Amino acid sequence: MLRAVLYWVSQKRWLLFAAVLSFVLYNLPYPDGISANGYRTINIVIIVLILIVSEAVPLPAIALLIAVLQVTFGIGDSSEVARSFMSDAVFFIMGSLMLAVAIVKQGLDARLTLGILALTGTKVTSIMWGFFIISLLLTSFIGEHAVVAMLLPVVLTLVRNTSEDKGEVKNLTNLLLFALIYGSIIGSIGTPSGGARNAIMIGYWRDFGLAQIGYLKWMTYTYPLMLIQIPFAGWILLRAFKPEHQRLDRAVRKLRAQVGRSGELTRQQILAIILFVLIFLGWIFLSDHIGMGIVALGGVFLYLATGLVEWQEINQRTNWGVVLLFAAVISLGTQLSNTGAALWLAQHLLSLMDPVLQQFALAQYLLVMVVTTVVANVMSPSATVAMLGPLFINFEGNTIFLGFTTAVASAFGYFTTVGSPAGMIVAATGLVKAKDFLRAGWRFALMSAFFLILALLFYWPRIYTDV
Amino acid sequence: MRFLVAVSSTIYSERTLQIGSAVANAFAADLSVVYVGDRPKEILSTGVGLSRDALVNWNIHQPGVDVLRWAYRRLQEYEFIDPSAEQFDPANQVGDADHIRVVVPHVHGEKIRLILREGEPVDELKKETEYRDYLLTIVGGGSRKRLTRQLVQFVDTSLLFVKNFDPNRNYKVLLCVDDSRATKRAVIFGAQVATHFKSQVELLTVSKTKRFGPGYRGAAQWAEHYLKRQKVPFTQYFETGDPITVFTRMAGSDHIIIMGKSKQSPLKTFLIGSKPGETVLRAQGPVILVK
Repeated sequence: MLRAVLYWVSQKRWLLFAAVLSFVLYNLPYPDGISANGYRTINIVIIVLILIVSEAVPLPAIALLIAVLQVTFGIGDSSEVARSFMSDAVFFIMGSLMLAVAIVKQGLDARLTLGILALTGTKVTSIMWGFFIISLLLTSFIGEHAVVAMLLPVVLTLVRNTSEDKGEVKNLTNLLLFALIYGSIIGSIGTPSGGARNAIMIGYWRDFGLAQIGYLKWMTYTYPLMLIQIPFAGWILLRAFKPEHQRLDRAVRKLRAQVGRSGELTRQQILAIILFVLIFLGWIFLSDHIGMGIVALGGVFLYLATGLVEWQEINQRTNWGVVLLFAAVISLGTQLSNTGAALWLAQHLLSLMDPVLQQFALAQYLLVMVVTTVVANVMSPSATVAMLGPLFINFEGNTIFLGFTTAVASAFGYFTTVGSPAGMIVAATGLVKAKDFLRAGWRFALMSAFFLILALLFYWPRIYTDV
Repeated sequence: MRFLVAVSSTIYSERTLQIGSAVANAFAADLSVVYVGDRPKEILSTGVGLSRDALVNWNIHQPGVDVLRWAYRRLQEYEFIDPSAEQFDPANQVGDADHIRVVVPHVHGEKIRLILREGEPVDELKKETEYRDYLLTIVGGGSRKRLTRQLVQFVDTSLLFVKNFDPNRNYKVLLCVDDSRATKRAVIFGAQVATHFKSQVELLTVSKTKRFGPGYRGAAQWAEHYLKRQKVPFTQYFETGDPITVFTRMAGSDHIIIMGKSKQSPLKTFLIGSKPGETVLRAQGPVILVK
């Protein structure tokens, strides 16, 4: 019995640590300038950060804990908390996860492969550019999950066709896989549908009455920033991973023969593409009126109604626990703002930086960038925006620029496997290691930070209009 | 009787598998091979599940399946299983509770099981040993302090740490005897190992003081009688000093240390470690801890 208890303690040490810390914080006197509810909300945020990073309990359990603590700490009554759990951003996360299942199920990977190879030929550098640009462009609209799930088998088959000995093609493997990962990461900033974090930020702007940013408006801010990184990113990849082969004639021939057997586009695949185009048009033209989440859910309805995907498949493949967690974390983010805790934290952070801020106005944006990047690389990008977004958009600068800085910097998940869905998916194959992420990651982070600063200084102020 | 071998990769687990199959042969035991891989972060797991489905359509399987295939072929080479038995097919995966099993047709009964798990190694090995009844768990390494201590304390089977194992060396058996409850089982286990591998046995009792208490003397006498009865030749030593230092010094790198699991309280073991755990950490060669 004692051994079982000790084992539980060893496995749940972070849960115990969070519980003790929370108890201590709860009983400490509140600092000046913050309400009791605001202070307690910060207390919950700290517990949640510890639990998400340590995975001491399953994610849905963290979501339930957030609801329970909000009510028991007296931050809101149960009806109010229940209402705050559902928003358009949560609909969007739910819809986009389901859409990813529906899209991957259509078997479009063979079509994509033939398209990419027709463009690139057999030169390794061209193939790298092909995968990088296609993953970047597709991710900007569909999101990382579906794109990486479709392209990853193609890349791995190409590598396997080149050599069965992994050691012989290590750099080639890294080059193509990181083209996929970093292409997807950079692409995810392009549109609101590129990543859940973008939809979360749009939701915060709207819910806090700060701004109305539509699909196209978002694109005008971020798409140029995404596109300008393409040549530099490819160059960095080729410097970081010098491939062992210059051409992949035999491997490409085998791959073409393999995917060539899949024949012409089927009627189902054509319908699936048409439906996605409709969803995309819905995001552009309708999301300002009915919300991105509703458009995504409408799209899922169409996929189900036309029989392109079965509910069982969606139900089995969608991690509902993740949806529940985001619902809870967004609810917590909303409370951070409603209780004044976000504003209080923002003011304190800025007062600490006051001497620097007086000399250097960009400092608060740099702080947002650095903190967001660090947290995103340990906790996942979307959770980072959900937790830190309300804090950063309360800084003293332009709330639109601060929000975009947070959303874009949360995509600097170049350093770890947890920093992006694409990184996690590829790392789960066991073919790339943590140190490979560091090898190219710091160069990508510097490049992306540089272009983000340029956008902040020269581009965004030019296109800014009060919204 | 069933043994469990934990493999981590084709590069580092060769020796573990080799000694695992040899020991299982010696005891005519069935063998399960388990690969414990990293579990993807739950917050990003939807994409991982999707990509795995897509990869299977392209005949690409998750990393651990390759390791299990390699382990299966090695076990055929060692003739632990029939070399002519049907080849491993990664598509033959069966979901069993919280893990995946790769079924090999025409390999009958329980002789060999290939298991794939994802998660924290100690937790998954603990779950596996609770899910099926294993007598011995065979693991590599034994150098990482926290992992070794947790394995020793929480995996509820006997444990063999395959540390610096050299298959070309003729290992002697160093049987460490004290007043713990598991000592008798360690002696019985050690005698079986020595008989099968025709190894020399050295019976060692270490006291911290010059006086050997009745518990220690009794255990040493019992071991002496048992080995004589089993006609296992041995040399007996009584030494004074710090037990872990003496065990590891006498064992060097050419002995397999066999000893009982700790008798001390779980709380003390949890906080400061145990004699068997520290012995594993400081040993130069393989160590068997008998439950």
